Amino acid sequence: MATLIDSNKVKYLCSCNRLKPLSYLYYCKYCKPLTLKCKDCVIHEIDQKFFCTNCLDNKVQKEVMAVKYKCSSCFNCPNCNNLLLTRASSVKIPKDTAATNQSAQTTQQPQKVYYLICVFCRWTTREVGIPDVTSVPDGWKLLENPFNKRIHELTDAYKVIAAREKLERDRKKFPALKRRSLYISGSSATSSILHSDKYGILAPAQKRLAATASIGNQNLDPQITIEQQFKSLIKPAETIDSFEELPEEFFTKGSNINSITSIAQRHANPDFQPSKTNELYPLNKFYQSKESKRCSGCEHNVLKPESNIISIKFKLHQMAVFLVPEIRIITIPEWKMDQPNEVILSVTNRYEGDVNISFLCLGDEQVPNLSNFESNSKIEFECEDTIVIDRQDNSKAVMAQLKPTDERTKGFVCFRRDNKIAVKCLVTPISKKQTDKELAHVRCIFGLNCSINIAESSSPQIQNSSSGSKETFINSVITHRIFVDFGPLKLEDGLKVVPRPRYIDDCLKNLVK
Amino acid sequence: MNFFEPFADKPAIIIDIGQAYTKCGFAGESAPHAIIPTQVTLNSQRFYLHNYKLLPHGIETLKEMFIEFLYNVYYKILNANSRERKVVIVESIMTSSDFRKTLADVLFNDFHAVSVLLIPTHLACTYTLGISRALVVDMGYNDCQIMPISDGYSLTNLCSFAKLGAKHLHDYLKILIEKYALVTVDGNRVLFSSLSNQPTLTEKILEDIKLRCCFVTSFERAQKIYKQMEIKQTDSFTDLEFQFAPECDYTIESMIVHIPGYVREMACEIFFKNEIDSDQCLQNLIIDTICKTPIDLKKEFASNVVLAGGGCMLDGFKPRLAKEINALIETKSNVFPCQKLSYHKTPSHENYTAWLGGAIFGSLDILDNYSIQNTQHKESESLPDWFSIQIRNNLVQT
Repeated sequence: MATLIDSNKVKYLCSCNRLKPLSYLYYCKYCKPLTLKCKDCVIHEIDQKFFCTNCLDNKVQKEVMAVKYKCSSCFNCPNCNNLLLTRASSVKIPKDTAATNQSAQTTQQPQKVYYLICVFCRWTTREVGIPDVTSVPDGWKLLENPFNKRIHELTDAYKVIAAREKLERDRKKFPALKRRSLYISGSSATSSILHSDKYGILAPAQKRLAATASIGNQNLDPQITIEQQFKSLIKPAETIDSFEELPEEFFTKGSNINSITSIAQRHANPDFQPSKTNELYPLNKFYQSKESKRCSGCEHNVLKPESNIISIKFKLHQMAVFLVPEIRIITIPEWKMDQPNEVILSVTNRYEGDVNISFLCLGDEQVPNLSNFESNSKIEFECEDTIVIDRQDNSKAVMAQLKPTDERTKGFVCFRRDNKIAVKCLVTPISKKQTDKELAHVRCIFGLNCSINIAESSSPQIQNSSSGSKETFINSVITHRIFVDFGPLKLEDGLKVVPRPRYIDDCLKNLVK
Repeated sequence: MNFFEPFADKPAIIIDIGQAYTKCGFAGESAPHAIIPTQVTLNSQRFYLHNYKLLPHGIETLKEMFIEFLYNVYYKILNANSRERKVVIVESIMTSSDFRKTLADVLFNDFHAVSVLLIPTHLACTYTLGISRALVVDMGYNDCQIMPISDGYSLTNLCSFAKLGAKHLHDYLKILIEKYALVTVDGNRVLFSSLSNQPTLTEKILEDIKLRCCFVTSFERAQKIYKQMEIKQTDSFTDLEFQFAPECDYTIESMIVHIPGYVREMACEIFFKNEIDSDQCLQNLIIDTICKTPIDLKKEFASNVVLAGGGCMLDGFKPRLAKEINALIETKSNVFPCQKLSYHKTPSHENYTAWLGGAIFGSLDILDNYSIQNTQHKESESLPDWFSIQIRNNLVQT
């Protein structure tokens, strides 16, 4: 039932007023009260360690910037973007004839040569004409952009005049400071302020001088304008009057579309953007790094992966799934307007302890949120008592059984098994509120009060030392706003009514005596 | 900021948000790190960022789209912490104010960028060549923008733009395919239009067909074709005796569509010949723009034409444009000062020329003086428009 587990149906309100499914939320326990955070309101931080996902070669940020984030030994197929594997084959090459050796040596030496192959689309480097390499570490080198030289020339020329412009601007900022005194020369030693370093501005001024001395100061003659200086530094761009015409083959020969690259294949290699498939070159894999997230309110970490590259665990894993009970839709009825329709929701507790929940009807109140979700149906809960949901107990197999407390709810709780319960609710789509009758979805908002016992946030050291003593628990009640989108009002095109599943009926029969 | 530059070793991030594709990368590089479509996935649906006006609650959705899009660019593609980096955004002068304001708000408030600089696309193109005066022709997705640049200023009173972008080419191609293409069904070739369940020609499929099958035909051939059409007084290509290029087979949804030669050759003709308004074609626009410029700059603009944008990368586009312009100049020789135009060859592929200009500028020390710093933005809360007086004092002069 993929539509029921579809996480886009049930959303929770984050502290930044955005609606996200529960699996996309984090919680910050240091913020008082306990707040939920989502990807958009949390601070992301890229780890300093970068690694290649294939060969796990790790580099620090500076090294990675030098290689342009590209791993030199791992490649992606330019055809389908999957990993390329290295295959070896043996080739007999004639042994090198030494200069002194006159007689023709015809003994053959078998040598291993390597080529790359993609397992998915069977593309190989041989198809493109790249010769097989004899040693893998030297392998398939990154091709240099042919325009590099010209671009570096231009950039260097611009840097010179930018430095000059900056110097002129800085001078304009401090007109009072005599220009003469910036140059620490012997003749003005007695008079210059900087030389005596009375006010401690010697070091910064020298630093500034050193930064611009090498480039901008070469020609400060105000007679030579910036334009002229620039022109002297670089040869101007050449112009052409006409372009090469298309070869005649375009008009006479039919082209095979498979020999022309698609737009995605071209964009994968921005330096070259090959237009023909016989010009494709293996793409280097990029270095990636792990992300850690921080709460924007209190700057404490919310998610912190382990520093070991291979490990997929987290040092700190404060996901909302482990705190807040998850609500899912079990049944969807055939909707009748302005009449209460029965809907069954399931509540699962993944917290490490028991949770006491109670539902809250919000009536006509609209909850402000950034997704402009407006409820157009009323949801009613027959019972407003607190219901307890046990924590997950993996030690024994539990049967689906209702507790004695559940029987008092008169059918509100219709299923209970281990850490999951199912509740019956009544949803009334209100016809007045339907804006667009054709595409209307049944939407409702309600509140969920959760009462949990959280351990007093003590530091790990204290916990270790006083392992024997009891931890103090604080009971905290958090109210979550839950937004449910049941789906279209009119069920057509393959969308069906979801009837009550058998396990719920079986559970009702299994009442505890 | 002058002495203690903690971010001095971290190159700035350069992003060129185009209508169809976004080019992103680092300052100082020769090519963008990645070229990605300017689309975002919200609620399991894919949207173009620039189509925010079609969605309900346009501006708020645009903000959410920006956050999602820029998160993707920063953390998935570029692997850079947004708090430590300066940003250079290359944008067209014609961008709507809502769009740039929301972009600046998102960059400063949600991503805490150190500083943001907005560079006009056409000006950025001139940085890749080191010239101070040029006529930049940017062929994009939505439209074609022709802007004269002089000494660091974009002469917006002389610019012109036409609805001749890739989008219009795709629409025309769709019409042609639906009218003329053939499909093989049970061994018979039938017209595409006669099929009961026609496969939908989405934007992506049309772009692929345009890339692989279509090209811009040569000037001589086009002249012959139009002559024949005039003689025979017909609008359809099928009646002509001209030897068109051979047809091409394209697979859509396991159906083989035969795209006839005349569709392949004539699809791109919308750029060069307009049935309704004969002045609305590229060569006329370029010549008219040069004619509108002041008399002392005319010759300079005519000898410094820069072709940028993805549209210029179509096969056969550039030689055709050059010849069409030459033919037009011959008819207007009494008004026009020179015999022919001279074109520049940028050290980049045309689709990222503007990005490269931004990258060159982003690697200079002078970046701080032109950017809007984070603190500045907090005080003023408004982004100066390209047509306001404040900006005029800030542009770089080569």
